[in-house]
Amino acid sequence: MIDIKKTGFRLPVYLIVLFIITVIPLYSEDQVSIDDLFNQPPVEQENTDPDIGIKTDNSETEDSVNLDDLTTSPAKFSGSVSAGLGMGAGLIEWPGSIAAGGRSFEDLMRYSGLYSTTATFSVDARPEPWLRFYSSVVISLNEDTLSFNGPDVKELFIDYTFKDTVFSRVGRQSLTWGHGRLIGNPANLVSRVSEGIAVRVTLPVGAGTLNGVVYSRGAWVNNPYSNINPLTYAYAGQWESSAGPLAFSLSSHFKMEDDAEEDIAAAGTLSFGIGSFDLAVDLSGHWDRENFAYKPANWEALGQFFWENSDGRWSMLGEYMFDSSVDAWMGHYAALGLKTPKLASGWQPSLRWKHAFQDNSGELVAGISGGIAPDLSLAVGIPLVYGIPGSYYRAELITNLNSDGNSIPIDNVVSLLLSITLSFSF
Amino acid sequence: MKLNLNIFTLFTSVLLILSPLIFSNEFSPEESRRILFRVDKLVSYEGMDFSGEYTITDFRPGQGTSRTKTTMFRRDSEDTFTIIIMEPISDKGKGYLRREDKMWLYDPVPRRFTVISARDRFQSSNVRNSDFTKSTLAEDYRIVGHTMGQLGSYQTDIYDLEAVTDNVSFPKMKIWIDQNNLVRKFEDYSLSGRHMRTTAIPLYTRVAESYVPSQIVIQDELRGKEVNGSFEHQRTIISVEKASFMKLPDMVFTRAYIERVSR
Repeated sequence: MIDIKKTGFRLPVYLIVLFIITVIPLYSEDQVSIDDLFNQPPVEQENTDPDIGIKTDNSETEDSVNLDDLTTSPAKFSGSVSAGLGMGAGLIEWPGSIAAGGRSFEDLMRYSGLYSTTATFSVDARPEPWLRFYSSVVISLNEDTLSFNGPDVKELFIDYTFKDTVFSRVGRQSLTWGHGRLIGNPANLVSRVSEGIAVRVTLPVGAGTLNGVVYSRGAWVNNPYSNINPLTYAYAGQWESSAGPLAFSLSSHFKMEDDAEEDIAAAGTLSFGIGSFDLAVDLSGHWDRENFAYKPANWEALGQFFWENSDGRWSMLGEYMFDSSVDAWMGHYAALGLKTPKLASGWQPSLRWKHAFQDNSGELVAGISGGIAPDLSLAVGIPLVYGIPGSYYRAELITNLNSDGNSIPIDNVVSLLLSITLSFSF
Repeated sequence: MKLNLNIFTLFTSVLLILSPLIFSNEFSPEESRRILFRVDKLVSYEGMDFSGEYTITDFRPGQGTSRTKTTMFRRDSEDTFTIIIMEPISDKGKGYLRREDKMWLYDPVPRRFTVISARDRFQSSNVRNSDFTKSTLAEDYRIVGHTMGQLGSYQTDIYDLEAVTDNVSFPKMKIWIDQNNLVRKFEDYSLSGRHMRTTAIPLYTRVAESYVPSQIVIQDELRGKEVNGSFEHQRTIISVEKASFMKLPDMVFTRAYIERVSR
C-alpha cells in the first residue's frame, strides 16, 4: 500500500516511473518479454514493498461508468453507402450431359452483369434514459430499370422503459426468434414483424424474460378485418430462460384468417454446449384453427451445431431440418457452412453447402473475399447448383423472354462470379 | 569432534529421509482449494456489483493494431455479466450477456441474439469470453506442483494446476502468485501440454477492499509473425478504467437492456 504521508512528493514520481515501466513497453515498437513487464523501479524501498504494482483508487463515485451516458445522447444522424459492380459467367448445363442435348460449350455459356447501390440513413435520438427514437430509411437501385426504389422505411420506432424494468418498442421494427441460420428458422414465429408495425413489451417474469408482441401488416388491414378490429392483428408471446448449461424458450403465435400460415403456431427452443460444440434444437407446430381437432399439424424441426477450433480460426455451422408439410415424409434438408483461416494476405475463404433430400437438389458455394484498398472489397464466388430444373434448389427455366426468343435460365449449374464493392459509413 | 560428526550425520540422514515430506509438492484437495480460494477471493466481488470501462488493444504483428472499447457490468453473486461494445463504430451496439454457463451475443444489424460459447474468443482477440467472469480457480483446478521464484521484482509462489472440470478454456495452467495473493502471471496449456497463452497482470487497482486487474497483457503463444528477423507474438492489452462497485439496476443484466442501449 502506498502511504501518501510517508512518500510525500515521491508518490507522483513513483507513479510516473510505474507508468513508464509498465505502460510504455506495452506499446513500444519492439516486443518486450512478458516477464520484463514486472521489472519494478529499483528506487528506494519500492522493490521490497509488497504493494508495488497496486494503484489505489478512492474516487469511485466521481469516476465511474455513468449509466445515463449509455442511454442518453443528442440526436445523431448517420448513414452508410454500398455500391457494387459485378460480372458472371456460367454454364446452363454440363457439356456432354443428356440435359445439354449435344449443345457446344459456347452454346451452354451465359454471361451476366450486376450493379447495386444502396444507401441507408438513420436518426437516433435518446433525450431521456427511458426514451429513444430511431428511424432508418433505405434507398436502393433497381437493377432492371436503373432507377432508385424508395426511400423505404426500414425501421421507425420509439422505445420506452418503465421503471428500469419493462422495456417496450413501438413502430416498425425487426425481431428474430429461433436459432436457424442456413436453411430456415422454423421457430421464428415473428418473421413478418418487419413487414408492418408492432408493439413489443419485454419484462422479467419468474426466472426468465417474457416477450409479448402485437403486430399487423398492410396486407392484413381490411382483409378481411378493418384496422380497428383486434382480429386484424397477430399476437405472439415468448418466455425464455436458462438453467445451468441449458437455455430454452417457449413461444406461440395467433392470427385469425392468416393469409400465409396456419392460424395457430407454437415453438420451443433448446440450446446447450457439449465440449467444443454448441448445439441447438428448435421445434415448431402450426395448426388450422377451424380444423384443429382432426387436421394434423404441420411440424418443423431444426437441429444445429456450431464448432470452432481452439484458436478460433476454423469454424463450422451445420443444420438439419425436417418439414412435415412435404409429402411422404420427404421434407428433409441439410446444410453446412465452413469458415477457414484467413490467407496470408487477409483474404477470407468460405464454403457453404445446402441439400434437399426430397428431390436430391442442392447448392455448393465456394467463395473468397477480401479488401483490396480502403473501403473497397473484392469477392469471387463459384456457385454450383445440382438437381433437375424446377427442383427445390434449382429454379425452372424461363423460356422466350428475351428479344431473340432464346430461353433464359434462372440458375446456371455452375458460375464464376466476380464483384467489387465500395462501402463506407458516415 | 567425533560426537559432533555423528550428530551431524544423524541430522543429515533424518533430513534426507524426511525431505520428500518436508519439501513435497503434493497438496491435499482441501489445501489446494484453500490456497486457490484465497486467490479467487481478492478478485471476486461477491455481494457487490462491478462496472468499468475496458479498452482492449489487439496487436497483430505485420497486420496492425485494432482497438475495442467496452463497458462492462458484472454481478458475481448471480454469475452474470453484460458487456456493451462502444468502439469501433462498426461494432458499436453489439452486446454480450452471460448468465451462469450461458452466453448470448446481440448483433444490432439483424437485431438478433445468438447463443455463443464462453470459450470463444472475444471480438476475435486473444481474450476469451470466460476471462471476464469471476475467478473460480478453486472450483475449476487443483494444485499439482509448487515452486517459488522471482518474477521481475516480485517474489512469487508458482503453482502448476490441473482442471477438475471440463468447463474451462484450458485444462492445465501455471500461475505466479505474489505476496499479496494476487495472480501476477499465468500460462495456459492444452491437454497435451502445449503452451497456448501467457497472461501478465502488471498492475492492479485497489478499490475499497477489492482488487481490480487494471492492466492485463495476453500473449498468444501460437500466433504471431516474423518481424525484422525475430518472432513477434500476437498480443492483447486490456486497460481497465472507471472501476466501481456501485449498485447497478437489475435490468442491466438483461437482454432487454442490451437492446435498449444498442444503436
